[in-house]
Amino acid sequence: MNKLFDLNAADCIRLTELFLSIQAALSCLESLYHRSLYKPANLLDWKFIKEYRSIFRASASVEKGFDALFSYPAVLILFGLRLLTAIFILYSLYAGRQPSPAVLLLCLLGLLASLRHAYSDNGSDQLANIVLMTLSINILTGNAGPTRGISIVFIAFQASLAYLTAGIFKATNANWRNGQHLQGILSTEVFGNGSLKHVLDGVPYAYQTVSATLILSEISLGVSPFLPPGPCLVILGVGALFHFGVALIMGFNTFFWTFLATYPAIYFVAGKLH
Amino acid sequence: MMLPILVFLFYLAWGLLSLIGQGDQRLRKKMKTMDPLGLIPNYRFFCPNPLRADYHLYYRYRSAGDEIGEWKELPVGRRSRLAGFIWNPGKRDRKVFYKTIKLLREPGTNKTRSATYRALLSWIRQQDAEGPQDAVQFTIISKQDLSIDTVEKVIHTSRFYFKHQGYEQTVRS
Repeated sequence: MNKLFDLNAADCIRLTELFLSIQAALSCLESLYHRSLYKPANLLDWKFIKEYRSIFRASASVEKGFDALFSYPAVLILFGLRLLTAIFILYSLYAGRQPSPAVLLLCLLGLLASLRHAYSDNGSDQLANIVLMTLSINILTGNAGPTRGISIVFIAFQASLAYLTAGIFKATNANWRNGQHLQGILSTEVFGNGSLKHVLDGVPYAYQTVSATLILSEISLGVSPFLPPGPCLVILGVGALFHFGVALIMGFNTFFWTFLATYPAIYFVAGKLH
Repeated sequence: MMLPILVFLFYLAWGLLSLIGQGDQRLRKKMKTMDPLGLIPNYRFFCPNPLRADYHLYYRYRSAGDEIGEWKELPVGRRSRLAGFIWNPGKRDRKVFYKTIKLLREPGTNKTRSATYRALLSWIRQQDAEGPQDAVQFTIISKQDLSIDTVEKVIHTSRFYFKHQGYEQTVRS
């Protein structure tokens, strides 16, 4: 394998930690900036979150504990601590130090943030938590040897499953194949883009072609861990551009960082299989 | 030697649950109730039927003397076209709003008692909170904002809810 493409397990883990820390920092900054969302009588008022999930009311002492942690303004401490942890990991990686305890803390705080966000949690938060849990298991089992390898394979598996699920479900849906769903999405203000829609509206079969390309890209990304490292890298490049485009057009800013965090694992597995 | 095997078995079980979680949606719903941390993922992004409409939220007040005011739009989680790809703090507002709409469109029991519906109502109620109004009503309209030949549809129109009381005491008529 060409040296340019060499990626060892330790570097793979570090890159994953780097991208996840950026995702976590961004997510926390947004929560702290938009803190009114968590205030009483607002959309993420703790009172409603508590009703949404019965575990918060499992017993009087459990409820009291969650109240202290998740009510406003205490919840801002959680976001602030998570932000500081993410920044500490970024600094540790920059300084060449292993940020293991901080990664465990980031995982714990990420899970707590997801519990608090409840019905406003999105796919990016979910995948980030899964990868952070995997990194934590890797740290707790020594961050070396076969367990590290298995953890990296699991991250690649989750990314592959995500792309294949999205790709296959689109491929089996007639309205995705003929471009109607894509046209519908781009016609909305919330996820669409007027300029792009205008361009595509003027080209025959444009939606059909873009939709087919999207499906093909997702399925290719799903099988990329099984490809030789060279083609795998090209497909991951396409994937990064795809997520950047999705962030640009649809505003899914944290998805970019979360999916990017799984790419070192995909590439590592591709390298090991060939 | 046992540790890698245990770790492998753990990931195998988690991986199988993740795989099952992508399939049947009824089974997925059941799994979701047992997975408050969201560790069994749902990767059906925009599948099979993605959101293809913009939803607009309007509210109006009724005075103590039964005078009904004009509908006013309440923007939900708008994002900046320029900076939205790096900075999008309004996405959680939209998620709650869309989740409520999805729930309202599902057949079944009274959705207005759900936590998301009540959170939305609570948020609407606190608009102009200091005003003299007695009760508030809201409506949700769907249309494609970037489409010329779009058709507006009313998704839901609430009853009038008293402004300053708990949910159970809110309905007057």
